Amino acid sequence: MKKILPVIIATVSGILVLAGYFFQDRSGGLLVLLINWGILLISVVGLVGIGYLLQMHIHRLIQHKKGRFFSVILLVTFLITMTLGFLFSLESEFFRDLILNIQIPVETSLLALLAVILFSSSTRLIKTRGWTPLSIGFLCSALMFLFLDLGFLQTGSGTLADELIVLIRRLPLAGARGILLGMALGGLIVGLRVLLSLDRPFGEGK
Amino acid sequence: MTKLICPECGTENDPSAERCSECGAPLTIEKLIENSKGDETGGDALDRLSAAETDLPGLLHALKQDGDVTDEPGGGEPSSMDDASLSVSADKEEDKVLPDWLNRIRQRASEEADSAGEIIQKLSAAQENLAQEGSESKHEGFTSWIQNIQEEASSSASENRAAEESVSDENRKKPDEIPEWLNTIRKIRGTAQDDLKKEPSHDLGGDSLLQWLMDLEDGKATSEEIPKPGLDNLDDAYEEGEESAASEQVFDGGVTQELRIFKQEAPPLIVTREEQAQADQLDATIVDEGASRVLQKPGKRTSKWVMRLFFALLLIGSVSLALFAGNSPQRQDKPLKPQNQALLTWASEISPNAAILLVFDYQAGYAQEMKLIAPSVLKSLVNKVTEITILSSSVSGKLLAQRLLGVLEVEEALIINDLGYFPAASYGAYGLANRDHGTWPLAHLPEVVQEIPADGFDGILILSDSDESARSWVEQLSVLTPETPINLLLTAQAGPLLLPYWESGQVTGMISGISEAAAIEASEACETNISSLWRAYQTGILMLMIFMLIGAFFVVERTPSDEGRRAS
Amino acid sequence: MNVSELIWGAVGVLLTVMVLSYLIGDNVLFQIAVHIFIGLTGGYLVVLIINHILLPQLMTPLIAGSWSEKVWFIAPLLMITLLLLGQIPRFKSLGNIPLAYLVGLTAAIAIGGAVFGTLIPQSRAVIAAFDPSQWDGNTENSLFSILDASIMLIGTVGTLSYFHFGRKRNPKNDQEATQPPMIFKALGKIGQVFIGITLGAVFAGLFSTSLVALIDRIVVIGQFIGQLIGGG
Repeated sequence: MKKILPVIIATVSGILVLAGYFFQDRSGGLLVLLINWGILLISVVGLVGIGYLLQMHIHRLIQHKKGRFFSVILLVTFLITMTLGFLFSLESEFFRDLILNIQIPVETSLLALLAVILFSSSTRLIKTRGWTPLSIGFLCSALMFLFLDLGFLQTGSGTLADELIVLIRRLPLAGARGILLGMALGGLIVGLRVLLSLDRPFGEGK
Repeated sequence: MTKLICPECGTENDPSAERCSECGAPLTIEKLIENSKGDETGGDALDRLSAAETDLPGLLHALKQDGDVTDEPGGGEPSSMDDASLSVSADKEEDKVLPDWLNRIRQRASEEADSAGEIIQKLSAAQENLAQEGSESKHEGFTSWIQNIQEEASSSASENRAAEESVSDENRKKPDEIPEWLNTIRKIRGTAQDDLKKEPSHDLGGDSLLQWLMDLEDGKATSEEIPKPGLDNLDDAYEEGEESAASEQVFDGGVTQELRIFKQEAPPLIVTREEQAQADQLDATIVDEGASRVLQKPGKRTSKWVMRLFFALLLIGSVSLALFAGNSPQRQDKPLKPQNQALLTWASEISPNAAILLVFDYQAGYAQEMKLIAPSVLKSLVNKVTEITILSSSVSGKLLAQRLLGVLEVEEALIINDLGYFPAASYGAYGLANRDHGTWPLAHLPEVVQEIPADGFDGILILSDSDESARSWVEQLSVLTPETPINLLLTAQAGPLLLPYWESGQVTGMISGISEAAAIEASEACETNISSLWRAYQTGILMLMIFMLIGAFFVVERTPSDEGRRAS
Repeated sequence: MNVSELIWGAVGVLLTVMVLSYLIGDNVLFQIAVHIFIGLTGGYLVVLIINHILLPQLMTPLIAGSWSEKVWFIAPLLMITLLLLGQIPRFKSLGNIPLAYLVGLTAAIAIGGAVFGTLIPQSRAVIAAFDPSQWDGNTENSLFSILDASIMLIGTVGTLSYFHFGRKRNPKNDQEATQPPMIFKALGKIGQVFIGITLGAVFAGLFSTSLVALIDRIVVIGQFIGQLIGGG
């Protein structure tokens, strides 16, 4: 029973949601209810995840492991933020400034780091993988789209050059469509395997 | 009852006999040990025996633990099993010399019919213990003890063999009449009978339990299960008077009779191709692990960050120069891309009473780029409609929405409905699309906290930095609300993978990246923040293009094999 | 520049410098900045989840709603309890039930989105490109449209073929057993080119986004220093 019950729950909930695609007019508030329950569960899962993070850092602190200084910083920041959040609420300008004026600089700087790393590794893009069809296509496409982004190229509307540029801009469409179809097929197969209980990612035993 | 085997001629003698009845050789323990050992081992057997008692591995512990075997003087009744060379005799000297456990074994073997079976079971258990025993000292002690006994047995067996060959041919067993237990052992050990004849000295050990035990210790033996004792066969074998079988036994300190139990054929060892391949791979891995390798010099690590810092300074320096050098050139008006034009057309044609949903699905790191992309469309929207609904599916989306709308300087009369935070984009899209459907009456259903328009939305604008989450929204909304126009404001990285949705008609319009936003602003001839940093943007792109070309055609990449050759 | 702007500006510049110090290698400053960021985001997320999801959608109806409405919250409450109990090693199996519910929902939404949201519309779009009613009137544009549609078709099929990892059901020899069918191999080679083109475009977009972020940081630091010098 212990192993069958989760399988039954997964299958039933999945079938009900799938039915919503076909019987949308009659699905009523049932689907919204199911989704709301799911959102509540996901929220609790998020809290559990944060709990694990804190547990790990507290362990590091208690056991005097390497890096406990940073764990102290993390825990103190967490406590301060949480306390201020419950005191001031999310709508308060002070709390919004506190969060955004730390998140935006850090995340934007990490992206800036990415720019530098992409720039420094651009010299090895081809040499690492060699001259394969994929790497040739990659190089030519990257150069072409970077050049087109510069805005130097000006072509008259309806001319052959303009048509050529339009065609070049549409070339990634084919690959993107193939990638999207591939991802959709993969998602479909995985979803079907889960609903048919061929895969049980929610616990031990298959 | 145990019997003494003469080391000279191999004749069986009474346990109480002091001399061989056939050739007259002395049968005392000292003499037996002297005769069986080589010169180099000398008189250490007894010492080793007593020393080995302290290092007994699991096998002998298992045997030793049998407390039912008591020391009794060896009786005159002939036993159904042959005894080993050392007998449990009433000789007090022997009792003093031999360990008690050995005496107990002999006594038990002489008295109990099924002692072999129990011993085999204990051997099985002990075999497992042997495999787990990690004690080197015990291993060494046992190994040395076994080796000693083995050597004694080899020499005694060779002498026995020599004596056997002198016996009439009628007593020689034909190959097909060799007892099954011997064949079993030979099969297990993989030793052909002919090989035994060719190499009598130590290949005889292939037949012996001792050699097998020794090999187990060394990890050479296979871990086949010990065959069940076939006692019926055993009895038959002795009824036939197989003296030669007895002569093939080796001295093993009282455990010889276990050999007789291996009468049943071991199951044939079948190795599949996959197993053979795995074994070969394991061999190759072991060889590879033992192979010498070229040491990687750690000095390269410091050069990596130096190069990275160089490139960083180059990029930052050139971009900063372009940024602060002077005014950016005026961007020329050029035709917009069709997807951009479609979005602008939708925004311009929206009615003042339209219900618009804004989905904020981007992270804080992309806030600055979104602040450059979004205003061209959002301004015209928020200035036209009287009410907008916002929803966030990113962690900071709620706060970013407040900041972005604050930047746009929206009118205070604009009503903003906040549907809150949806942790999973696909759940939010699915739930939102189904919210206004439903004829199944569910009694006393809790009321939805958030208010949405009764007729649904007239347009949905998704601001996203990731193709994955934007795809979730598009997939669900385009299926469940196909009549609602969906538009996308995306960062540059998400654009290419979402273009097929525009091309298929699922998305009405889209703007992705700063270059498209710049083109829109140029077409609208308005001065924006993009103009101020456009030159710096162009400089950065040009630098990247130059270094990509340099790297593709001029830089020689060091491969690991080159480094290995250089190091050697 | 008022005090709050000065303080937040200083915080922003300091954090920017601390993160960019990673260019010289992993160091204490970078670790401090990252741990501050993680702690802050964690605290904010807890406040967001409790204040904007659990309280209004679970706790308030349970406390203030009627008994008939509260019945609808027994199931989520039970699943939340099982989820929390599942974190105790002894009751680990209890946590499988709410996870199974989530997995079922997600799988179904994924199937629906994949089939109705991507597979059918995108396949239809590939075929519809060959529909003459969608082309422009003149011959030249028709030829261009046919060429465009053919390239899209070949590119899409080639990309899918590149990700085909199947083998022949009845191979004739050992080599056939390890190689994909010839047609997939050939199309896969073409697909590689189109995948490279798409990834090149994505790379260009990625660098564009990150370059804008770099420029923004340089601008912020420059403005702060300028205001310090000018305003101070």
